[in-house]
Amino acid sequence: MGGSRRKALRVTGPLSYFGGRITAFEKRWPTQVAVGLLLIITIAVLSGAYRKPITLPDHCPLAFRTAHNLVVHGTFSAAMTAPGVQPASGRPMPPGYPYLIAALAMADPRLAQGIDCEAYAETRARPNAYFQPLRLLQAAAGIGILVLVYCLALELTGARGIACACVVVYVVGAKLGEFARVIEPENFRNLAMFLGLYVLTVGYRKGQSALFGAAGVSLGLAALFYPSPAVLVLALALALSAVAWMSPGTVAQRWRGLRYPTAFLLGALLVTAPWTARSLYHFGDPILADRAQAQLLAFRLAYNPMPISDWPLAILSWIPSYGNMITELLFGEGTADRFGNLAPGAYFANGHAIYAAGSSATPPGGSVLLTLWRT
Amino acid sequence: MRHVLTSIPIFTRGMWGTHGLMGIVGLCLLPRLLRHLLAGSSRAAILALAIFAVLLVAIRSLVAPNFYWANTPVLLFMALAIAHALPGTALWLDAKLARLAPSWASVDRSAAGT
Repeated sequence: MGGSRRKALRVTGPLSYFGGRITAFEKRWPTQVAVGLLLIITIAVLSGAYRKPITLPDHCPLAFRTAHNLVVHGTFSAAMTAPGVQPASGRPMPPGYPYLIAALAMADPRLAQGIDCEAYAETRARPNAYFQPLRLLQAAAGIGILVLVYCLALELTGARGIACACVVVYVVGAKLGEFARVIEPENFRNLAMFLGLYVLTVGYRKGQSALFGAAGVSLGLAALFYPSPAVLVLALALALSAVAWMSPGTVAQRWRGLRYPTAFLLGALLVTAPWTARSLYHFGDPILADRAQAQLLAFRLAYNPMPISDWPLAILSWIPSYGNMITELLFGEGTADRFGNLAPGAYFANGHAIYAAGSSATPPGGSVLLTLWRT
Repeated sequence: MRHVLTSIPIFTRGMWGTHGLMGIVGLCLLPRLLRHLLAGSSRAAILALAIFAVLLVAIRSLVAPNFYWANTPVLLFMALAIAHALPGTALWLDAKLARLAPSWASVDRSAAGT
């Protein structure tokens, strides 16, 4: 009785019906449905990207200084030097984003003008006049992310209705449009990351080592935009090996299963090895980016003095949108301030002093990141 | 040691902070999604993706303040958990509404032959 009731409900449910209609449409007009979905996704991202002007921070971003040095001097460095003086080679941030901006600047003279930090006040007054190609490219990456979210959801669940709903829910929280109009590599990093995850999923279905290698390449590319995935790739390769080893089968089958994580790791190394070799050659350690990573670590270290009594308040206040409101409602006005980023006395704000101390304790040419990590 | 301990609230910042209130709903629905997917043919893939998503948050809670917008694979899982639960929730609502007010119930399209 219960079974027949559930079966009937499955047919009549509005969303199952919606998903069923999409599948039926897709079978009849596959190209039109694909174009329609792409159009909706494009409108969703572009409306977010062009709703407000491009946002620039108060100070000239590290990415601009590095890209400008790449264009003018051909050197990867964030140092500001006098005209005609070659800056020393550095590793202020991961290479992906500055190289991409530099490539755009070579094609567009307005953008090349915009990344010159000497004239930053003027650039900041009219950002839309300089950075349209960057916004467009970041929005395109956002569209790519949504397409991959759809493909991933479809690959995992096999249901088009669920994949469509997943895209809708994802687009609400992912701020893809917002990240298209700020000077951050989020959309590029996430595009590479989701491409890697999608290829990995297909690789598992088809059982092809080459696909695992391609997934490694893609996640390696993500690490060139934001270094956390670099550590993650190693950890994931180990985890995949553990999964392969724990899978049912004979010992020989388990050994064969290890070829997938190996291919994955080799793919990632293929992409990250040149930049790691550069770091080893110039600075004597394999760190992909020093300054940007050291700043992040400094802001993380700033939370270390937080007493356990503050943990529940912190956990509550870090719920986006409603967190501060709930915390202040329960624990009194101003209690959420110290878990924010800007208020005086905030834990996060101590990160500036921690970075400055780490920077001054580091010998010239040394790694601030390593200095901070050792403290 | 203190660094590892303070990573616990920072880890939650990355996990449940993702996607605001919807993220919390997604997190509650996550076990249901994982149970369903782990029982299917894409078990190994979903396991790899889940490990990746959790490792990303864990590593970032050690080396960065773990702002939620950088943990997009977790966001994907939460969105998928919500999307996966939507038909069931709609059906549950259908059934409840049908009991409360029979005229609100969905039209049985299977009976209509659509």
